Amino acid sequence: MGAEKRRRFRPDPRTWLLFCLLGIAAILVIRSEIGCLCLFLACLLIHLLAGNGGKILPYGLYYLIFYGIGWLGVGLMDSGVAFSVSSMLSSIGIVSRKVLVPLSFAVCLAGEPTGSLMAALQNLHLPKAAGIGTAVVLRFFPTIAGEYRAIRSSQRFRGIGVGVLHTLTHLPATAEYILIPLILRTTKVAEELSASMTVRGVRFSGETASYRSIRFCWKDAALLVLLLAVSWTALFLERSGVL
Amino acid sequence: MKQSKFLSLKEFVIVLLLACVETAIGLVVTMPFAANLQLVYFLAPGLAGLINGIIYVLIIRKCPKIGTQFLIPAIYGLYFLFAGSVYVFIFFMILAVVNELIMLGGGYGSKIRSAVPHALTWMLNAMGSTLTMLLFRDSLVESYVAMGMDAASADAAIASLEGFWLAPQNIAIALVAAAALSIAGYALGMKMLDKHFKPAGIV
Repeated sequence: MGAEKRRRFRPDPRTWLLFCLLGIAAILVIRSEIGCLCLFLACLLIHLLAGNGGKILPYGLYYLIFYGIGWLGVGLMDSGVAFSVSSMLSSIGIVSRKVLVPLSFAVCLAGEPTGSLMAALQNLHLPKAAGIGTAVVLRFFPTIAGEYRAIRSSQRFRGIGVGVLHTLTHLPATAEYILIPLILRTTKVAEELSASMTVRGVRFSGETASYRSIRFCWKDAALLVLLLAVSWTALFLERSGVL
Repeated sequence: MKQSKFLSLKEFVIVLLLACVETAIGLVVTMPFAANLQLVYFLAPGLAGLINGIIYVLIIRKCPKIGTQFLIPAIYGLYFLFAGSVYVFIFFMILAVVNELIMLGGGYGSKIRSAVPHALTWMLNAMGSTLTMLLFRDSLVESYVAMGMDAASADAAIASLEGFWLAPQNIAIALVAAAALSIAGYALGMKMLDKHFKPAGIV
């Protein structure tokens, strides 16, 4: 079991970072629907090969939902119904589908252990502040969601923001009662986090070694080549008028 | 002990996390209006500026140092980078530098000067949607066609969209609304500072 776990391939954090950047570049230059679909399928294949097979179904569903929203928006726009609504629906559907590609890689980058992430960014010779910033930002968004849920449930217990009508009729007060604890909690988390970082020696300016080993191997390179090849092929076919 | 002009690790993390909360609020506020063009353009950025004014005031009161003004738009710009709008990200990075320059030389001591970077950030946010739409123009036409619209109708639909996003009067309304609501947010933040944060011992 232990040996199997050791053998299992886990991409290097730098690979996820490069995937993110490559994904952003690809969605900017690839414009056709089929080209974007190829890119998305390549993204799913990469997740499958990287051992994230469980993510394929939800991402596929998101893609279909956003396709449906886009299709509905375009259909309404074509029949001249409520232009302001239909145009926004179509934009949400089209842009969100594109964003799924880099976002899915960013989620994997955020899932990397903080130590590995810091070591990988240090190996890229990025300033320490950039490493700390990236690690904190990627990790903090799920924390905000958790804190928000905890505050909401405690406010509901006190009868604040119970139901849509109550929330809308007392909107400023509800916003204040949710926002202020969220901000206070965030400053507390920030203070605890900086204390924890100091204890772990983040401020140490000398040479540091990571507890977790990070290694950019041929499998990482192969996955990057796969995404690059799909992007270039889609772009080439698009420019030559095939797609 | 002489205090540094630059952010310490603790202050850096505080600004970073509160800037993340600002970004999350900016996105959450836009969601209910996402299906309406006018509301997204004229109301959502200002409303985000209004609510985020509270966080902004806390940030600048807690960490009035070099680096604070850079981080706030930079974190918000990162969201646009991940959304595929590299140009909007670059605009936010430029704004980040401009905001730092505005606050140099005792900017944190002035209540009026401190409000300017906040207003500028949310004004750029109002224009960010316009730029995103412009950058994806060709892509939108192709997607409309692929989804069953004929090329002429798709082009006409995009032209109507451009007519809305680029009309000078609409740009003016969006900028004025964002600036006015952001400044109101800043004033609200000053009020909340005395009402909640000072008694809680946060500042």
